Amino acid sequence: MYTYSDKSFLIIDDFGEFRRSVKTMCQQLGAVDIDQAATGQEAVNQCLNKKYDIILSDYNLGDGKDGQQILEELIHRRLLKPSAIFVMVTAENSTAMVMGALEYQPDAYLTKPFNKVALKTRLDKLMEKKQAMQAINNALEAGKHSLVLKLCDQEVAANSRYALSALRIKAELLEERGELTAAYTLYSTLCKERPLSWAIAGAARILIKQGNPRAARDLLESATKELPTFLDAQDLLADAMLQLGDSQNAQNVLQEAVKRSPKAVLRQRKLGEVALKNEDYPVATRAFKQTVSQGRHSVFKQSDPYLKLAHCLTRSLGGSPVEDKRTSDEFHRVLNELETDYKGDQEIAMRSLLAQAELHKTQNRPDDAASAAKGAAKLLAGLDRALPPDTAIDVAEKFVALGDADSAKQVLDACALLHGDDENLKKQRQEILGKAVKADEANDRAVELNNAGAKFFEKGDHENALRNFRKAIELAPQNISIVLNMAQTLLDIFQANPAEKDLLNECLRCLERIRHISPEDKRYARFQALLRQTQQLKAEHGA
Amino acid sequence: MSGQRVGIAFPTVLASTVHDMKNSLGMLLQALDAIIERIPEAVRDDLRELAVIKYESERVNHDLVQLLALYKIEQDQLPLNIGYHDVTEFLEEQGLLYGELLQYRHIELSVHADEGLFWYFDADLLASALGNIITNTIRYSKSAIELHAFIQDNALQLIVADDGPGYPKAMIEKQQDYLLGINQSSGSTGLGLYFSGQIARLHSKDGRQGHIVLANGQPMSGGAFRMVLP
Repeated sequence: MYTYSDKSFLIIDDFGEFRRSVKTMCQQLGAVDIDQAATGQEAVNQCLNKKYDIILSDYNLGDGKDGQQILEELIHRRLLKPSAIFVMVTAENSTAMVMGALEYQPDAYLTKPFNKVALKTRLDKLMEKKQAMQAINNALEAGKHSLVLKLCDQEVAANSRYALSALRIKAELLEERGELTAAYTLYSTLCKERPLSWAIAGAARILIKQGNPRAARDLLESATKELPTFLDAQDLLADAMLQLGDSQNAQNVLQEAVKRSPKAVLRQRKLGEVALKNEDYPVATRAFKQTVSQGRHSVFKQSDPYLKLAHCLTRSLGGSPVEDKRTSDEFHRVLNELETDYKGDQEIAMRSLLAQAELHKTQNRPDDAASAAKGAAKLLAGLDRALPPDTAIDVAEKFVALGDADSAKQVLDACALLHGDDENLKKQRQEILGKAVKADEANDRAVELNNAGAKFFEKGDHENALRNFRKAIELAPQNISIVLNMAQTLLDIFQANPAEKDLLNECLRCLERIRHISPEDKRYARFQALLRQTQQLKAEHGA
Repeated sequence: MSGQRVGIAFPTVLASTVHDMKNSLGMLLQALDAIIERIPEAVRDDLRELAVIKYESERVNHDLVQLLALYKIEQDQLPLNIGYHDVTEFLEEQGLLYGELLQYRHIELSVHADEGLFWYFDADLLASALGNIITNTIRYSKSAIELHAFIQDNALQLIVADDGPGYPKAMIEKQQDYLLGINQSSGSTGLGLYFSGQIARLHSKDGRQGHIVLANGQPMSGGAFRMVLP
């Protein structure tokens, strides 16, 4: 039915004999171009050099990255072309939801042992689906949103076998664009029909975004009863509970989820954060230890958990001298690993010094604490970018605790330029700096204009949306939310009026202002996508 | 479990042992296929042992899958991954998977379902449940197996039927016992039925749970295993 002679294959398995046998099967299907990799790192490197059509990866690869982590990295670093097929080979059945979050699912799971017939039927099916969805995926890649929505509607209207996939793409796109009401309608209609995990998760995500955590909680609680292995629901349930101010139950839910599926860096990290908030240091310490150790091979590896772990260790001092010795040894091991991994990163060096100052202070060495704090303040002066809100708050609190309110103010003010609409940041600024913060009327007005613009955008009134965003940007030129909304609106208007090339230049200028957005920011991917689309459209239209 | 003195959790042992066994099984089957490739086609048919090896390894594989799945159901750890699938295609795929086995045994397998029949189910779980049933049916069938699918009472009805001697009378009469897994009969028949019953039950809609029914004589002369998914 399909020819595989013109397709490039990558087979990933730590077991040579198995790689050879899968290679033989692929050859029997007509494949010629077949590469192999024995480790996750090797596989990722090969994908950097070559865009494969079909990747067959075993889930279990011994030490190092596992199959799920390979997939996460390939998606995250955009190393898979839209038409690529990724098949996860596992020893047990349908471990889908236990392995990875909904947004990092392979195209299919294949259970060992399988023969060439099983491989062929699976691949044929996937090829057929990719071909049917090709137009939608290409439009998605090119950022042609109205075309994507139109094609999805056609797929549904034709009652095609991929109608459900098309609806999912449509709902996720509407959600990404901020058309929350429309997305919610889609998700909730679908999950009333069947327990489709992605639709339930989507509906809950939107309820949380719209500030309706109670409804989200109810939806998720009934979903987890019906689908106890649906772990994304547990993560979202914790989010809803946090929004309700119930951080103790949020922690319980995450602890339960971590028990079911211990291998999930992001979940472990979230548990650490919540436990830290609850001042449950034993749980937080354990969770951050897991985050650090599992993160070693993960694309989600971040510096923050190392620092949080160091903080937790400092907080657990005060037991017996022997225990304290062990704890502070571990503290230094953690920071050493961090500094080795992030050599030359000023921000990390600063935060590491702050952590050390905190330790000195806890162990009654005020002179050492003061000199470490001074070192941190010096590094802060040399930073060329603002810290993301959570980090900024954490750093500011530490500076205040060490008696350096000026540095704390510097950190928070820089952050507020980009994140003026962040309620938590606003609250913490007031709390940390007290009277030092003047009411920032310009910023508040910008946030109002932005919200009004978003409402117009949802109604499809792009003209009025743009008018509001333009005014908002004048008042808060670096605010990430406003810039992203404006860029999306400009691109939409341009695609309807391709003659107005100035819009693209305006869009690029505006995105340029937030090029320092932290990769850890939730909107980083959206920023990159908008930037890429703008550059692509410029190239296409010679603007 | 009582009197635990082991330092390692049983589920971990179970999962990794099964994993290891399935790896080996995969290699065995691969090696066997390679050997078969070298045997002239004309001679292959006479090698009854090939059929035995194929058949028994298929059963071992099903047993392993079943073992792990039942354990996970027990622990509430079996993920349910509902999708929207083409039923005809799904059944044809199942038939293909056992193609060689059927060929060795000279059994014709045919699929009877309406074009364009789609339904919501977890394809992986259903494949392992039906795989169990199909392998068993292969053992009892004389010359033909039929897979049927249609909608009735707002539910998908899947039937695996054969022209063998049919299910024993006691089994038909006491099917509830088999499904509850309390029949201590020998062989894996009871457990296989219990397993597919559990898989069916995981599929529910508006409070109605899936279930299985055993019968004889319709749509073929032998046994008919039916799975009902609302």
